[in-house]
Amino acid sequence: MKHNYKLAKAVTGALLVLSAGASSAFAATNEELEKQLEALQKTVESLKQQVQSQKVAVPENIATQDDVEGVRADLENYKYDESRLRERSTIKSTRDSTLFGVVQVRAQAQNEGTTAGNPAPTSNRSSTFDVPTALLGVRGNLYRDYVDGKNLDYQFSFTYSKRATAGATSDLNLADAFLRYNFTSTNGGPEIPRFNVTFGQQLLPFGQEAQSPEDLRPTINVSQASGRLGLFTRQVGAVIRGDVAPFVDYGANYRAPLAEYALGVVNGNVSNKVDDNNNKAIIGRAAFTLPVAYNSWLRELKAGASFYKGDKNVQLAGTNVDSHGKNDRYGFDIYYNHAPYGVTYEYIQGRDDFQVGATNTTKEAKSKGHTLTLFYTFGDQFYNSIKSVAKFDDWHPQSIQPFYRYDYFNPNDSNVTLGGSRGKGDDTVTVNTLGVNWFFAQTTKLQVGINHWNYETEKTLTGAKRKDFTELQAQFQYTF
Amino acid sequence: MKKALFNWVLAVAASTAFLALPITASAEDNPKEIRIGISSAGVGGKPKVGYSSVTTAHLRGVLEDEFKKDGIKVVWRLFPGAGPATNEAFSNNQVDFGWHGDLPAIIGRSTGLKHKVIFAAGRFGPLYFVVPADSQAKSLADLKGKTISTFKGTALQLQQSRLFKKYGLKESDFRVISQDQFSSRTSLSTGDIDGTITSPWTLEARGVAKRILEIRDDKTLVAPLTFWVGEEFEKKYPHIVQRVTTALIKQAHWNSLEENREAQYKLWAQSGVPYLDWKKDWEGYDLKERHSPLLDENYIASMKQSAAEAKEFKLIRKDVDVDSWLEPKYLNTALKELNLEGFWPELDAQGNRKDGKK
Repeated sequence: MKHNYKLAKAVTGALLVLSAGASSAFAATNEELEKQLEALQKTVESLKQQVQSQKVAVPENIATQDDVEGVRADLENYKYDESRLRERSTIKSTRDSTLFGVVQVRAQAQNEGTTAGNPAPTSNRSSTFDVPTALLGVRGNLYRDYVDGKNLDYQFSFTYSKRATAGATSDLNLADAFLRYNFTSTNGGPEIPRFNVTFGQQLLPFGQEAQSPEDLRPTINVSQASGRLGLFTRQVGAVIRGDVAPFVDYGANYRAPLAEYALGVVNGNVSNKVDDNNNKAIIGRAAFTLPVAYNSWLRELKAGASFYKGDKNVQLAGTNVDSHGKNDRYGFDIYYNHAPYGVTYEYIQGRDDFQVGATNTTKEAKSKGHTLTLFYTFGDQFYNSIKSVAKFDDWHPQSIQPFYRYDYFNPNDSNVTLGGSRGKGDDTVTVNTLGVNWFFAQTTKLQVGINHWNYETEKTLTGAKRKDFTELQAQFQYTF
Repeated sequence: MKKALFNWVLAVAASTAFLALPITASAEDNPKEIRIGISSAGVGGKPKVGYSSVTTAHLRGVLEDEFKKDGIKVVWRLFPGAGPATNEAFSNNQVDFGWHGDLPAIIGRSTGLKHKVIFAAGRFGPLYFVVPADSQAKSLADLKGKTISTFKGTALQLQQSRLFKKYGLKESDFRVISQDQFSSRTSLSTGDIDGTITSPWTLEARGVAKRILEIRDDKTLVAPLTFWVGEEFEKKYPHIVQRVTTALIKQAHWNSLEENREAQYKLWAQSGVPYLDWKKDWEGYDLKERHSPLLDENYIASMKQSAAEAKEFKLIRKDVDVDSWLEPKYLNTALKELNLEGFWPELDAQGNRKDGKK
């Protein structure tokens, strides 16, 4: 602005000189006038050059229009790039959803040859590679209650299983398929009791290990009692779960409900099946946790009791002998996890009716199992504060967790053979495991275990011989 | 039967062996590392934080320089889970020193965490109550019955209670839910909550929230921050505690100098909170008052008030004795060594200078 003013002043001055010259033009010769005009032109040119040569001094800390345009261009590019990526490279869903999965890859060897497998191999093997688990699922939210957090959630997942026929194919079976409604607030704070209902195919709320999802089970092999009594099998039904009188230590974000409960009704049949009789199974669980602060050495000391009461079809050559056959489970468990130490113990008793010999009579077989697990963790994997510590890279605390497991299962405590198991506990199997879990990345662990399988008697029901054996297993498990 | 007995014996033997795993103690004069828990993290979980002389020491590598010659590693653990996470880490012997807000430190102390307060590490400052941009509320009273978010167990919870009290309101007048800072700021944008105490600047820049309260001159609302040392570490390495304290008090002096005002804002901006936001938050405040490490009347009265409020709101079950919690000898030695006695003004319980100056 200042420079324009200077220019105007110079031009005005030139014009004034020109006009002053004009008044005496009559007295001046043409030659003189031309000279004056030439001088004036030179002056104007000189002034113009002076103005043009002067730079516009803009303070350094003030953004110019060009700077603003540059930032805006960057922003527009960013917005475009974001929308393009979302449009072309993002998996979309109509509802909030999270994809998750669990995969286990395993190698194992044992000192006694085996033909175990389905279908059974034709010759003995003493080692094998295996993929025991591959699960893929989606979980998310179907309705979000912004005010109280009484949300409607869902989950469904598929897990692969090997086919029982020859060939290299596998099946993809439905695992979870449920929706869950929360009757109490989920966003009101940890002091609010939880209460929800889950409808559909789901894990059973029985004991400790049976209701743990695949990725949270501590050992490679699951407990015999839970496995052989069918408690790992997901079932279809409706189950309410909740807790009362939660103890909250705000100082460490620790929540310990005094009592937790679950009560439900399920088909009493296996997964992916409609009910096979007119009777439903009832399942229930109650667990009590000591209401102590996080800093107490008694934190996470929990005792629980569970029951499952069902009816099954007892059959003889495909015909029902009794459609009200007993199919009951009772359990008691203790859990103590005070990092770095941890102890869990679980007792499960099964009561099943079986048909006796080739008669129409039935008899109850009582089975029982004890599972004791002890572990000690070196490292910080299980401290929430350390796991979530601020970081730039993919750092995650590594941990090594040696464990010992004692796993006992007696399938038939009666005095006669029932359900393919000999009486008097002759088919009892005890597995002692020494192992280690190495958590070396955020969601990946290497598990190594030495299992010693101990049979109560050397002969099977068919008279075949079986020997105690020791096996070495190593498995990577990753989740995402 | 014999086999069963053998198995049980094996089980019991293995149990005993596991439970007897020894925790080896170091008998060295110096620790291998010094672990400091910071009850905060930067934007998006970044391991950089501003605000205090302690966090400035982290940004400037002050302790690393101090212990480099001894080969002692300094480990800073910055917790997005704030004060409760620091308590959890200390319970599990994961940190030796802690930088804490009043409430989590008090709750931790009441549950039996054994640490000693060695100096104050930041105090006072503005408090903003922020609501969604389209909110019709003009005052806190307009939000009665609405959903307010705070991070329970952190210093913010007591600030909120004091704020309610200041305006004649109480927690039961609202529906108060617990969210961490990141979630509550997101919830303001989505309209999930009707208000919270938080920094307003970036939210206002995005046009998603606005202030209905900005209080800059009430020294009773924002309690002092605390720097403590674990009792076990202190007993074992008192000379290290002294060196840590002296280095951090020297840092507090740097922060308290007016000539370093702009420099510290620039350092703190590494946390992801913009330079201009720090400038707006700290404008008009006396750096000496805000960075004063003194365990003066103001610190003690404030902590006693916080302990009483924590009991009143049933956040603690056992009383906390503030007097026996303090260990001022390290601070006093540092002030003497650094010739800083009298540098920071003593403040009375209300936060006024005892020397009468303003």
